[in-house]
Amino acid sequence: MSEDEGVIGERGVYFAKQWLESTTHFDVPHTAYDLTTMTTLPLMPPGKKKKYDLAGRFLGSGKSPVMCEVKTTASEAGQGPEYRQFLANCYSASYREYKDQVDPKRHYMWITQHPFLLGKWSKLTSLGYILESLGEHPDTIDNEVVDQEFARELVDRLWIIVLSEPLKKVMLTSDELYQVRGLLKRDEG
Amino acid sequence: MNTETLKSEIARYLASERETDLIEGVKDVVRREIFALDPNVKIADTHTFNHSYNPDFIVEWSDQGPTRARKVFLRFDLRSVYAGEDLRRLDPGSMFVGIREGVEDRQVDPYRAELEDESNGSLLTDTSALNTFSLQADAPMMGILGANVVRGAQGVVDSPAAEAITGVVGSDWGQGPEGRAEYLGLINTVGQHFSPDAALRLKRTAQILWMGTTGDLSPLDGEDGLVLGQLSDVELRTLVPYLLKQPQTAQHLGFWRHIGTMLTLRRLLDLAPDLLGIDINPFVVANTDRLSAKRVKWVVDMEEQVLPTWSITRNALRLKTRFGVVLFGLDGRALKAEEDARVPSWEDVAAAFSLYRMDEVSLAGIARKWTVTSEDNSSVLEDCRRLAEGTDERLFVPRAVLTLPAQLERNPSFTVLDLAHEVADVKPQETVGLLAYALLPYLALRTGQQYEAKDLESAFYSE
Repeated sequence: MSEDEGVIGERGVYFAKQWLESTTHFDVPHTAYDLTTMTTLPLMPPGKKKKYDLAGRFLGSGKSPVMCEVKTTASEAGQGPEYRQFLANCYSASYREYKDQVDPKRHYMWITQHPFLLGKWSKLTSLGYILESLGEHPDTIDNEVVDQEFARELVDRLWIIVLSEPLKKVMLTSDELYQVRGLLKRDEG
Repeated sequence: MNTETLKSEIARYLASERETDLIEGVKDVVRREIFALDPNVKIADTHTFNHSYNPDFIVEWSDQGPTRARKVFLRFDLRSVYAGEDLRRLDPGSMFVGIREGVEDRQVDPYRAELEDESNGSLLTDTSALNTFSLQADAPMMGILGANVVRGAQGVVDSPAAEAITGVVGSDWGQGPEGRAEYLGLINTVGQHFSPDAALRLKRTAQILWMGTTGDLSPLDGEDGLVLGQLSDVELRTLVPYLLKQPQTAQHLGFWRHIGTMLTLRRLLDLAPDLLGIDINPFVVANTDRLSAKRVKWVVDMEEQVLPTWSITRNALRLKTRFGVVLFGLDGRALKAEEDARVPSWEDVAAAFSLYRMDEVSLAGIARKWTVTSEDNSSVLEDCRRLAEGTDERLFVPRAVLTLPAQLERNPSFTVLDLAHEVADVKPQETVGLLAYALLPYLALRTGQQYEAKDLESAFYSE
């Protein structure tokens, strides 16, 4: 990867962070470029980990953590298989926390600049597609039997966000957001 | 804290498993570093960390004007400022502090020129750079440099740049034989790394230190562009006590007159806690015709001391003479009326009053009271004499309104003497020199001594 490509990918991650925080519902203090300890989760197979691009939390009473995978791409290229791996990772990371009795009910976001798998778009966060993805990546869950009830709960914590570059033009400015944040007091919940 | 200790402390926090330990620990280190650079600012924590638009801290200060603020954004490194396009999105003039150093693929050098171009008054720095400045903050030039880093440094000032700047400024700046060359080097350096306001403050500081320590007053002749204007609080607190303690500086009357153009009595009184135990006579003597008071209080008290001396309290400038003490202040809350004062008789004050143009005199006997005034002021004293001579009663003078000789040229200021309480109010204000010259003959007469001009020569400025 050239340096320029590296910066483009990094810019995409920062854009996703800025957009999430501009909704006033999230604080996302950690990126994969900063401190990986805060963006990395252990998976079910011993010693195996997954590094996400962003880690943060909802503001408000729940303060549920959020992990994001960001795709800075101008095409669908390769997103289908990567997304199925993402789903398997989400299950594996969450189930590991559940088994360790520290499950904070994380949300997982796939943030992309380009839509993908349009023929299956409405099913991409369904239980069926999670199970299909887990079937494709049994090693990610250490070849264990899938806990369907747990997988069903995960459905409500999966997000797909298409974040295209033109959105930058209609986002509130940082100064406007700074003022709005003070009025909303979302982080006092 | 030295730089290695700082780095290891940050590294320890960055290795924290708990997010709150990491964030609170790192923020505490940065807060301490900023405060070490400028103890006169308020630092508000916004309780966010590495946020895209909400700063980590807001640093506020007020210095002879409206409160000013600078937003401080913590970033893991300065490359993320570039990748996140922070300089285009966030307030011009913000401060970005990188908290992690030495990560190979996160160096800022490939983007340094672009960041410099886009900085628009913002400062891009890191914790080690801040520490480089704060390490030497006890030295006067470095102390003021540190405060201006917080308030007005701009562009990329990472550790190498900070070391280059402190290398030019140095902890013993201005005191060596190369004072002039050092001074010019510093002017060039601060012009590159500081906002115009901050650069001007630093240039003024450098000039003052240079003149004060070397006795070379050539900038006063216009050479190198003399920087005038009121001293900032930081300059005041740092420079004035430091220079008053330098034996060689005390001799330079012209230098202290220059400082006098930048200070009022109010600001000098604000500085009183910093001047405890320091001889302030070099400064005050050079500026008795510039420091103005609105309230005067005196205590008649004959002493053996011959030479008058100035000192300072929280509320007043104090002049001790062989006739008593005169306090110069700014309002009645600071200089309270003396409730147990003895009201002087007409005989006590008549001779002293002949020195002034009397506008109004209150006379009080046991049974009767008069207020003597006239349209053209010329006959007030004469009328008082006639009244005093025409009665068997002893008359006392609780109050008088007078115009000091120099005030005649600058109407409408006048002085209300509350003789019953040993205070005077001057409206709108008058220099301490003129007030003392006017009051001391009165104190001398009250103590039964002869006032002589030499009584004040050593304590007052004269052309």
